[in-house]
Amino acid sequence: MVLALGLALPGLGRAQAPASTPAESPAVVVGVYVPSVAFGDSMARARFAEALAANLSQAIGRPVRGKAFAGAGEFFSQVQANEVDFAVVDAAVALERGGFTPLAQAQSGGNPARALVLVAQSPGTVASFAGKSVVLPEGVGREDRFLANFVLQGQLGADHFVRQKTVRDAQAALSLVKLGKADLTVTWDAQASGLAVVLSSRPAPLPVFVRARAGVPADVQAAVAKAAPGLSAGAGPFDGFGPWNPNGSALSALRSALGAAPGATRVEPVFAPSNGPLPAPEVVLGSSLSPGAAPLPPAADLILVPAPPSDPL
Amino acid sequence: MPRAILLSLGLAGAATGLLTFDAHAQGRYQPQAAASRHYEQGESLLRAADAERAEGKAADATARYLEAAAAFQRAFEGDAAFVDAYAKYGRALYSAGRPADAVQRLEAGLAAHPESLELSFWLGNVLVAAGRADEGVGRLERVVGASEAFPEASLVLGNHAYKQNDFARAAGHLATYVKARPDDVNARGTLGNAYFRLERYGDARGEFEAVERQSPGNIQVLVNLGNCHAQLGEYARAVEVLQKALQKDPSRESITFNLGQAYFQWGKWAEAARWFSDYTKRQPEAFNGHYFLGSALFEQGRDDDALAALTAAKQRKPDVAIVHYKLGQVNLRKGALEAAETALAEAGRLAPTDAWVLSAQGTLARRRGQFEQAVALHERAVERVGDKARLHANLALSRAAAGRLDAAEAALDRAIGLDAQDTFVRASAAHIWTRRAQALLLTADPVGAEQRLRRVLGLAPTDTTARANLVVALVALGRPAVALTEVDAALAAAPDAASLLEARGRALMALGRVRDALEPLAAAQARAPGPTHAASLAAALLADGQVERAFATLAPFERAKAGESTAPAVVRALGSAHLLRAAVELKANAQRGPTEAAVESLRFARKHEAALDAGGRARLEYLELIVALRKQDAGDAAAQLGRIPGLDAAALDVKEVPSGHLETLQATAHLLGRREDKAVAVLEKTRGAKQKGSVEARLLRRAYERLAERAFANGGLAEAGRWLKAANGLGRDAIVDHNLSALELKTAKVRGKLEGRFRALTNQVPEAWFNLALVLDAQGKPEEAYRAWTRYAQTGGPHAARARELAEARRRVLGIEP
Repeated sequence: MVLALGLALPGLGRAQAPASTPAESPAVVVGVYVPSVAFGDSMARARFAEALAANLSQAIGRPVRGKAFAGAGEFFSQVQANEVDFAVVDAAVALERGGFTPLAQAQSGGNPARALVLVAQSPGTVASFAGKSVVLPEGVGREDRFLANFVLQGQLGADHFVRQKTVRDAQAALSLVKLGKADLTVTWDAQASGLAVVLSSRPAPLPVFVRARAGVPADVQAAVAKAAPGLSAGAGPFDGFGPWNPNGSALSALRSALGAAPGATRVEPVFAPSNGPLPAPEVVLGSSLSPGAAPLPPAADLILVPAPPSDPL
Repeated sequence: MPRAILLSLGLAGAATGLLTFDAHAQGRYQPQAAASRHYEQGESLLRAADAERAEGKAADATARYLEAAAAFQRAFEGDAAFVDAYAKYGRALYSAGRPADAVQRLEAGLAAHPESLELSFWLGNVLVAAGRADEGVGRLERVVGASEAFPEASLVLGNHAYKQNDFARAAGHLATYVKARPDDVNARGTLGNAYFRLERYGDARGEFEAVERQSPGNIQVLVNLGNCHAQLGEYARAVEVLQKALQKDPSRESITFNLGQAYFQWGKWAEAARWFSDYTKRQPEAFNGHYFLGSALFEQGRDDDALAALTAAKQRKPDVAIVHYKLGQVNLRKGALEAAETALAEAGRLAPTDAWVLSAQGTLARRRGQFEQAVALHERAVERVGDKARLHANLALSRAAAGRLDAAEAALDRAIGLDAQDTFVRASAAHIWTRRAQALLLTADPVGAEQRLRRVLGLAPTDTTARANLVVALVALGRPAVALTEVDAALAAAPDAASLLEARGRALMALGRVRDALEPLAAAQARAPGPTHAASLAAALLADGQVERAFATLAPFERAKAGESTAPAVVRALGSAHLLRAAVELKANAQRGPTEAAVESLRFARKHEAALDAGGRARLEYLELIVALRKQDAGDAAAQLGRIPGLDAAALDVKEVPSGHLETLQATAHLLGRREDKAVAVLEKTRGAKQKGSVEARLLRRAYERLAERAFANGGLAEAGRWLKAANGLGRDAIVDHNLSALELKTAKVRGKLEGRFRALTNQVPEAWFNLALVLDAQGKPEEAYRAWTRYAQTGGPHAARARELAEARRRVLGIEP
């Protein structure tokens, strides 16, 4: 579903294009679909998309139109229809859905990751919430793995909680917990105000700026790729963008978690490596040479040849 | 070599043949009275004339002789049969210097008395005196043949022959005469001269000595006698006699020349030069003085002065080839090869076929390094003159310079066959035979070398260098005991001779008496410091285990002078010293990695490996392998191992290589390269592999452990178990114990008992913490597991990151307080 406000954004985008930009240049479309971020309301999400587009337009010198998406269906539908050139998506989407090329990653204080928290209305431990309900915003369909393998780090089975059906976004999930319709949810630590933190996860990767359409002109693509890591638009858990590092530890951990079956991780015993120093080889040579091996000059060297006589008279 | 003797041509007047004797009458004859009176008057006048001549009144004497002749003429005119009157008539006219006037009368007398030998003698005598020798000589020879009563006939014949330069005939007649008249000093003097001209110096000396006895102090006789002594090699006597003559007549410059000659032939060049110099001052224009002065100065080694004197000689006689030849020789010796070439070219122009000039040109070519050209010139020289030993010897020298030592020896044999005593030939022989011996030693033919060196020693039995050379050959020949005897005998006479000391050290080294060898080798080096002596001493020091002292000995010769390279013997000794130093360092620091000193030493040896012998190179390869293994450098170790086909005890200079040593080196290299299967294949064949605690067993267990580890990582639990059991069979080991437990943990249902095992191993095996945590976690003890994983993570072991992650997860999720 496309937000009404989002539909109005193209005009905003054009209005903010630089005066020198040729009128016939088609606007670059940048979409925003980050269900993990609690924008508060649709307007806030739209303003973020607007700010992001303005920011990017300023950087690349051509019109950019922002589109904010509240649901996965509409977003992926427009991506499929090549109506979205670039997008900001949750890291799990960037990793798991094909067709996206990451160009930059959201940052918080210069860090591309920050903690997720398991929150409830009242304090407690993970153990004390055993059997309680947990609600999660929709993602890429691997929420069990995300919860068991990433958030709980394989320490507990996926059945430790009773998972409710996913909701549209973090804002909705937080609302359910606050309304008592769910016991727990997982959100960015920056979005947990008013709720008790039951568990603080290891750092999770922040949203990613991606190229969503393969057919973006090369010059546009290059300009955006160059500008994206410097974008300063922020929302919720992040305050801007930085370079994309596919080998970042948080990304690796998330990739690993989503790739494994949900449940308690089996830890295998290890062998002790036998790589200590080998016995030093002994030297069998003596501390002196035998007379026969002594490097005496060759006998011929010792022969003193008398000088030839002067010419006879 | 040309000789020049300023020979006095006999005693003054000796060859003039003035006869003072009376002819013998042939029996008694009674003349007529008148004739008898005239005869007596003539005799009286004749005596008076002799007396006047004796008094130096020549004119009066001549007048009186003529008066006497007139008286004798009256006598035989009064009595035609008065033969004595004829004879005295002839004698008077002969004495008056008018022999021709007597001829006719004597012929008439002889016609009347053809049997008279006396008349025949006088007729022959006056004919010779009158210049009609062709008539007189035959007549006199008939007189000599007919009777011994007329020895004067022999004197006349001898003197006549001498004047004709027929010295052999003169000597024969004069010897006949002197036999009859031994007191006739004049005749003996002439005879001595004739002998001298015939180079019969001993006979000449006898005649001059007889004259000196009978008529002492005659300068001419003294000069001639001195010259005879000189020619006979009696130089001291020659000088004594000549100086006596000079004392009597200091103004006679010829005596100074002859003194110079005597000294020159004596080989006393300085004295010779002094007398020749004296002579040139007295006779500045005389060629001989300058020439011989130059020759003496050349022999004395005063090349510049010799050049000046020879140049002066050349200016006086520009066309004498030998002067240019000698100028060439002087310049050759000076190294002025261009000037030598000019002079020898001129000598060649003046004497194009002269063998000596060709030989000198050959020497010039040799000096210029044009050896084949030199040989060709020398060969032309000996083709022209084949019987001169020095020419053959010079050919031999050039052939030797050309590296054709075989041919050189052949030419030398020819030279020795011609004159084995010649100094040049002997010096050439010493040079060539020694070089040949040196070459034979290089080609491992010490027998041939010994043969040559014994010949050299035969030339100069007291020569310490020749003796030392022979001893070196004997040592190379494997006869050190004989060598030691030889050298000790020589050292008794020349205890400070460095070459002998060096040779003694070599002999002692060959006998295995290293300590004894040190002293003479050190003494040799002290007396004649040089790279060869230093290398020998260093070698002995290395054999005595004094590595650092060996380095100190070699240090002064390690850095060559600019433009020169370090002596190969020094480089070789340094290489061996470095190898020994590396071996000592590696032995002393067996538990540590290779020391910097050892590595540096091996680097030096590798840089100069070409200087090492086969043993040195084998030790280098071996030690480099040890270093690579000690450094745990798998690649380097494998490369080094590839260069070593085996360990040769003799090459490594050890009595034997311990059993299994090579295999342990190979296995260690394999283990470093993670080729455990190859290590197992090598080690399982060794005897030591079955002995618990041996190096082989320890290495083999390590290989088994690694194989188990690899199998475990690949999921081959059963295989891992087999390797671990094999490792366990070589003795208990904490890692094996641990891994056996880990394997059990992987498969066992009951884990409780493993907790104790892992806990017990944590002090020795860090991974025991990890597995202990795992056991504890499984037992529902997450806090203890957390602590165990944390403990392991702190060790930095290969699973530390995983342990840290597990601990952290438990802390986060389960809320464990750190």
